[in-house]
Amino acid sequence: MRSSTSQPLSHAAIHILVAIGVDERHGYAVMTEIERMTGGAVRIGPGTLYTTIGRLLADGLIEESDERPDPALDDKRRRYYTLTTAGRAVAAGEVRRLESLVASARPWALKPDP
Amino acid sequence: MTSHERAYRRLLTLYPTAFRERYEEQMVTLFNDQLREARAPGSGARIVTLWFRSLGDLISSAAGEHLRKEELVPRPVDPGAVALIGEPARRGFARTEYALALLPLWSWIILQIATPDYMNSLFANPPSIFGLPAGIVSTLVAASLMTFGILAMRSSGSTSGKAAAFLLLTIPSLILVVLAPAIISMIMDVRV
Repeated sequence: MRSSTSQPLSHAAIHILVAIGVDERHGYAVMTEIERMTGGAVRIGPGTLYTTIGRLLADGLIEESDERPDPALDDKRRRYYTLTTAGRAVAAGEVRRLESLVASARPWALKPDP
Repeated sequence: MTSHERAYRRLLTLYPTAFRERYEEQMVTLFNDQLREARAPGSGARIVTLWFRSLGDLISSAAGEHLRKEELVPRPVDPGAVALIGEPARRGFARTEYALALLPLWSWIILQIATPDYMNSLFANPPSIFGLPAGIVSTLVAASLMTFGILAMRSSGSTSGKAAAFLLLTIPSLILVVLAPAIISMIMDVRV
């Protein structure tokens, strides 16, 4: 489980947590959601995605979901992931941290060059 | 199974066994999804781009996964609490295994200290292989064999797999380190 002494989340981990959000998503859906959220600026490959998912599972931030949206149509090999309570708290904390960072930078970083 | 999927599955052997057992099918499914998207009409170069991206991603993430000292295997705990918890599943790569896998390097260091002149034939006016000095080629080959040996031994979950990696990769690397200078000296003598 993730403790207060854990290392900060990687960029990939933050993107995955936010991409899963309140839904149940499989790997490809997470990947396309990250591309959509970032306008294609961030693309995570299968290797990075699943090594990060492995760590998030181990930290107790996400879990595999038993529910399948449409078992008849879906590929049985897919696994769906959801945020755990701890995962939601960590994702919310990261969002707050990023908001604070953006707020600190906004007065000068977004000012047009003289 | 398409040739793309077959090739991708082969590349997945770069990951540690435990990781592959857990995620191989999901990764292949995802790769097939990407392939389907790349094959959409008017997407000529996308398959090449997908392969380049996948290779870069695979090599970097596989190396990172090998460097992790512990494999974390999720298991359910009491409902209501956090649903999954990490438990270190130690697939040991013991010190003796490291020592064995690095045998070619130890031999090279010992030879350098004990007989400093022994390696001279490798680098002082050696015969060339494919236009490169034989010393550099043999050193690169020996180092590559040793590295692959370490990776193969690490990723193998069984003793027989580790032994096979040792015999097929580490021992040839060791032989190359020990015998290359002698062989090159012999070639030089014959030439003279």
